[in-house]
Amino acid sequence: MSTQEFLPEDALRAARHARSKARGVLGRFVGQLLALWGAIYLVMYGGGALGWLPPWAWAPIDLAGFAISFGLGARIGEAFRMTEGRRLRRIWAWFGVVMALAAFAFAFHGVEDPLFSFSVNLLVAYALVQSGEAIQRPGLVRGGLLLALVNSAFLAFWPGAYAPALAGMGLLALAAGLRQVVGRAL
Amino acid sequence: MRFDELIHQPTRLKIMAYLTGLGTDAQVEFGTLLRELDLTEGNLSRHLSKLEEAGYVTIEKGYEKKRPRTWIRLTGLGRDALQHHLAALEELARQARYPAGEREGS
Repeated sequence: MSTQEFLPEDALRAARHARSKARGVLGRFVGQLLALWGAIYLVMYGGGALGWLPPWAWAPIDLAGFAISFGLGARIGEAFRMTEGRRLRRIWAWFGVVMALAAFAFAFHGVEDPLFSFSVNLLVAYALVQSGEAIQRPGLVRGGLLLALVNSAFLAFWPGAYAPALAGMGLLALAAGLRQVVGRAL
Repeated sequence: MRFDELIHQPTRLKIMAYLTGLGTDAQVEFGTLLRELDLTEGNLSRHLSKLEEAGYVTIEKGYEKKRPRTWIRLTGLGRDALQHHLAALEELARQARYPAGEREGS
């Protein structure tokens, strides 16, 4: 670039663009996961409540969700090595262990819904709060707390509306996730 | 505030700014940087070598799942150099917006 062509404003703009692109990496990833699991909650609880989804479909949908999440995590892990990424991996690996143990204990004692869903959702809420703290995203912390609150309040006071309430949480997560992904892509 | 001739080059400025967005703890894989900044392999390699020589980035080569990988990380020196350079650019931009005569008059 010759001295005559040089415009400091353009250079600053290019630097800001590159910096914000890098800062959006984790945001995009979190957005993808939020959108994915939001859609899964919406389909499972919403479809379940309306009778559109047979109970046997929950396990394959959950497994597909875990497989896609694992794939997204592996892809970002191959592209970046970040402290935040390592923290997220640890949190969700422990979540997987605790959830597997909970599922085993519930299956052993024949515990079914809504207690099973309630426990899993509390674990998800806790992992969301932990993740939000680990990567300093207050929105994720608030989302986790809201999930814990809705999960507990609806089971205690309005059990008949428990599934629709969780479908609503799914819709909220889906919207937040899409906003993150689409907003950053624009 | 120091205008850095090495970072002044537009591609190197983009590379440094991108790495600053990730922080000095993070590493980015060569292929990812290539795609994210829309550069060619030779171009990126050449600029990274210059930045490495200046001590602004570190380049680590290794293997992952038996595939060769190159990881790039911004150093503290690089982060400081970019901060100084951006401050110098801000000052230049300010001077361009408000030339000396106008500033004195206002």
